[in-house]
Amino acid sequence: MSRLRLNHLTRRFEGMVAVDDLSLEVADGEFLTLLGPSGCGKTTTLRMIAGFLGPDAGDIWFDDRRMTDVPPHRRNTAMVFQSYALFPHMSVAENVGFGLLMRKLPKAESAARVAEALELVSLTGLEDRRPGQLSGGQQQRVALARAIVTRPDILLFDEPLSNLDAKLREKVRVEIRELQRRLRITSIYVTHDQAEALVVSDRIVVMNRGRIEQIGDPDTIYRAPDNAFVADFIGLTNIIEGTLLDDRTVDTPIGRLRIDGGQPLKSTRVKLIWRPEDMKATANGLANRLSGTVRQVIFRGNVTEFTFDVNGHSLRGQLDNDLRPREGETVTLGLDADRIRVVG
Amino acid sequence: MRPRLAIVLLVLPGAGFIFLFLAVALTITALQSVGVLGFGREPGFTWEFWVALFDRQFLDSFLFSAKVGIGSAFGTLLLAYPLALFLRRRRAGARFIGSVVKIPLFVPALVAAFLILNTMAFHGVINGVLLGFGLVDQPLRMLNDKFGWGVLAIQVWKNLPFQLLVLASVLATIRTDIEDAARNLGAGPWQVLRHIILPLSMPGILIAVVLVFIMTFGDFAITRIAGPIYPTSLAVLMHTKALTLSEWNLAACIGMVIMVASLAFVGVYARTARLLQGTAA
Repeated sequence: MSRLRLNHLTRRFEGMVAVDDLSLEVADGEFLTLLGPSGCGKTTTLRMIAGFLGPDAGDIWFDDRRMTDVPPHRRNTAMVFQSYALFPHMSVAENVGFGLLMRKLPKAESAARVAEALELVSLTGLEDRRPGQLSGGQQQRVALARAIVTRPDILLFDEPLSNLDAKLREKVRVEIRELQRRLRITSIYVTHDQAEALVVSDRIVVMNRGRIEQIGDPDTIYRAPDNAFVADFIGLTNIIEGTLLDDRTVDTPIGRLRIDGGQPLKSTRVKLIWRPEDMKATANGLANRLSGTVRQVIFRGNVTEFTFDVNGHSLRGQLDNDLRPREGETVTLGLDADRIRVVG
Repeated sequence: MRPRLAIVLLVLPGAGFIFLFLAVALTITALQSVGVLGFGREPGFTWEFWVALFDRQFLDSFLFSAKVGIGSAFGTLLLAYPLALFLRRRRAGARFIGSVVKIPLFVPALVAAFLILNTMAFHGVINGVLLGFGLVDQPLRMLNDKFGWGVLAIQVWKNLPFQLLVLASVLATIRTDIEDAARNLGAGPWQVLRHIILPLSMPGILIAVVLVFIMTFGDFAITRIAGPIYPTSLAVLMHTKALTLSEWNLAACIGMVIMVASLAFVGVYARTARLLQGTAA
């Protein structure tokens, strides 16, 4: 278990900047997620932490140890790969015990720790199977056991759930989170799935084009995105550009909207951001009223999502099923001032 | 067309061609070796040729062929495997080296033997250099030597690119993330080689060794040109018996020995390899 510090990391690939002057601190025992679209530099960052890639500039520190030039096999990280990367010619027990064999642990101690790790991921009894004889979910658990058994300083996850079906994915992400809470291993988790990031993380780093767009806990990232990219990437969002008329009023293509005052803004051109669920079916007592024609209605099971046009701008709304609007109907929704996030 | 008929029509030309010549040729050879068929002699079943076969010359030839077969197969592997590992990484120059080492593939065995003859001969380039630098007092006998170093050298040269292709294709199937996983778990370069790359490329190594053995065990051309006067390879002996001494039945016996020995080698080798793999994994 270690504190991780990335210091002005830069990495280029054939002229393209994959990671651009990235600095980051991860506390001991923290679960941090690197979230972003493909090509945002999250996997490159992870591979630099593991040591598979060297940075072109910058430094990597585990506690007070500078790891930048340390080869991967001396770093004491452990990675769970997207493909699981299990050794096909070894049994489950040999796969899990590989890291201990490399550390030259006595056989008896190694066997005990392998058994313990397999029990943690509920795979006891499958020791002698080959990876090819296991289901995807079981292979995923072997990969997890293989990673934690070495008691790594830092646990690395490279989109570990993307090869599982949706139901299993939800189950395993909760299990990963619980396991990490119990073991308190500093963890870096790479994903492009915002729902996954919100569930597992202590903090989320939203990345785009090799840079950090925002760092924050899941609630902050969802509720208070710093910019339109973060808002758009995390969940469904309404984003409208406008001009600040005064501290509390913004002129937008869908009308004048009231916002909370006192927001520190650099210019009068601003973007207003709010979530579909922030709009209520009754506009009474709320600062803003939005009326429009319903275009598309999507039944989600627990709620109903819909799009509606206000002055030619499509907005996303969400209501309880019993308040579900019909296509072509005109709806009027209320939006309170404190629900609107204003970014410069 | 009924599917079964279609399958027969698909398979028949290739399989039939092979079966025809294999079955017919094998049968004739087998019958010849026991005197049922033969030229210049009353046909009739007899073991006399088999009894006559096992003389000193035959045994020496057998051992020589076995030595060349095994020596070429593993000698080539010793050079080809590290090369295949090097070429696996797309390092600078790997493409160039990869192309150059494949050249022997396009050179027929006989031509190869003559090419190397000029290099290794008594008055060839290597001896010239060695003498020039005063490293040896007399030219070294590297061709037609009693042991067969010349033959081995040419065989390795000839078969290296072939093994390289087999090994490279197997190494290419090992995913890099499996290697990464091993490094990540604490394996240094040698441990990755020993615990991951080597076991996973074992099927390719087996095939590479077996194929080169079979090709070199029955070799004629290279031994004829660069091999010792005595002993010679089984194929050369067979040729002499048949065409020089007109002992066709004896030649048939030798032909049988070459084929059966090749098969036996493959069988024993495959079983050993499977056993070794079983205990290692």
